[in-house]
Amino acid sequence: MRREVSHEIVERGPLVHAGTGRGAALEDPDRELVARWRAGDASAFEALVRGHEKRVFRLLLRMLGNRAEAEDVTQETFLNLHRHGHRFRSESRFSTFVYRVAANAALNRRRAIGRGRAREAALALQQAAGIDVPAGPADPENEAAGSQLRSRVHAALLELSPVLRLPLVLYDIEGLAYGEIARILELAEGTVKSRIHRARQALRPLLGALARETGAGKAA
Amino acid sequence: MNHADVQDRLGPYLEGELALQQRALVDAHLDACEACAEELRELRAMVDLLQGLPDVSPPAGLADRVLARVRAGEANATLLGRALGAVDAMLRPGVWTPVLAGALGAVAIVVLQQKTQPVAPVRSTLVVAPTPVAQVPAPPAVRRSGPPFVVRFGPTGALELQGTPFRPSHPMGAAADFESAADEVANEPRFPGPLGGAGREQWADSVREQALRYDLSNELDRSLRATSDRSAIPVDFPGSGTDPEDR
Repeated sequence: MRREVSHEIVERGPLVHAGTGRGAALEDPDRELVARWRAGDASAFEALVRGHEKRVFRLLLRMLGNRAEAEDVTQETFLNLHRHGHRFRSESRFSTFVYRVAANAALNRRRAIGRGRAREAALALQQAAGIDVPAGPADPENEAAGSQLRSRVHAALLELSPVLRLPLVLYDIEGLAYGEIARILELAEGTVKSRIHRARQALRPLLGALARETGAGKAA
Repeated sequence: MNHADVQDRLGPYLEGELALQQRALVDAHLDACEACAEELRELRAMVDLLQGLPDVSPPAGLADRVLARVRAGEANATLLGRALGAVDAMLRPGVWTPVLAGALGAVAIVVLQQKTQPVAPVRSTLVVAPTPVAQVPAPPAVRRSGPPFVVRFGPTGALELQGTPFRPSHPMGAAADFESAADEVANEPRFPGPLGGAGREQWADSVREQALRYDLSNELDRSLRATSDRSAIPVDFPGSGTDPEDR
């Protein structure tokens, strides 16, 4: 017997794609595409890939720390989705399933290359290529400082154990609600909350001083 | 409310999740306590930093590369995968279940008849972390009233979860048992953990990580577990040689 879960989904923040919102759990925006894909329509799978590639890549970049690795695992994620799509049960939303497969791929990859080596590789690549490419036009004055700030935040994230980082990224960066994270990770909602709390506590020694500086800068 | 009460509630306070009365109590404390107010500011700024990470775009052509690999047949289910998928489908409640149960029963009878010696019941053992014997002062056993498993040091010094036979005690499945075990390990001072007392939380994290991975990577295993007893569930742990993906 499976755990009873609330069907309420509350998504927060600007990063979540349009068309979802409170109470939208059963209204899967991908329902029709998934049905067409299962009926053998290859163009439906293509639409699903294009619709989800950004969120998968973003999650994997935050989890793995560099773009090359994130692209590699994004590809694996979609190949796995194609391979195991028959296991998707329509009682959850397709995006939940996508996140779950991506999270699994990220954890597998991290284990494969080892925590220490992953961090070194991530830092080396960050320095070589620059971790984040902002979508908007560059502001030359603040570009260097902003880039350094982002690198420090991201390096701090990579210090967290993946098991704490995953719910934190899904909540604070992806902007998902506790309920959906619980469904993605198949954990109790209370466990998700406590991990996010612990992740933030673990980040304090790494980011607290930076947060105070930027917070004070903002207040001034 | 004291400092600890308030600090525990700062996250929900920030999210606007506290009930009105609780919120008023926290507000009152924050007005009077500069240390907690500072902590709230720091927490808020830290969340701002995380949320301020810029949006990222996937590399150009990523979807095309995925689709090319799909077209090249890289994502086709393997023969084994298809077979497991078929078993998976049959194990779902429906007309196949009694047929399958009957077939399994028949196989079991044949196997049992061929055994000349009575088969000793297999005591399930779930090895979650190797712990050197030298670091173990005494094999403590902890039993909670809830889940019917015992966390203990086994004969080889490895920390084990045991049950007879192993069957997930939690409706969420084996992963939830790991979760309980991790909490138990984290909160039980008699477990020294691989790194001594200070390493308990780290060890517990490792168990939680396995729980997460195990649960995420074994959808089919989960449906099998839901319908059958298993004598043992291998769990990956670096160096233990029990990685389910090595099977």
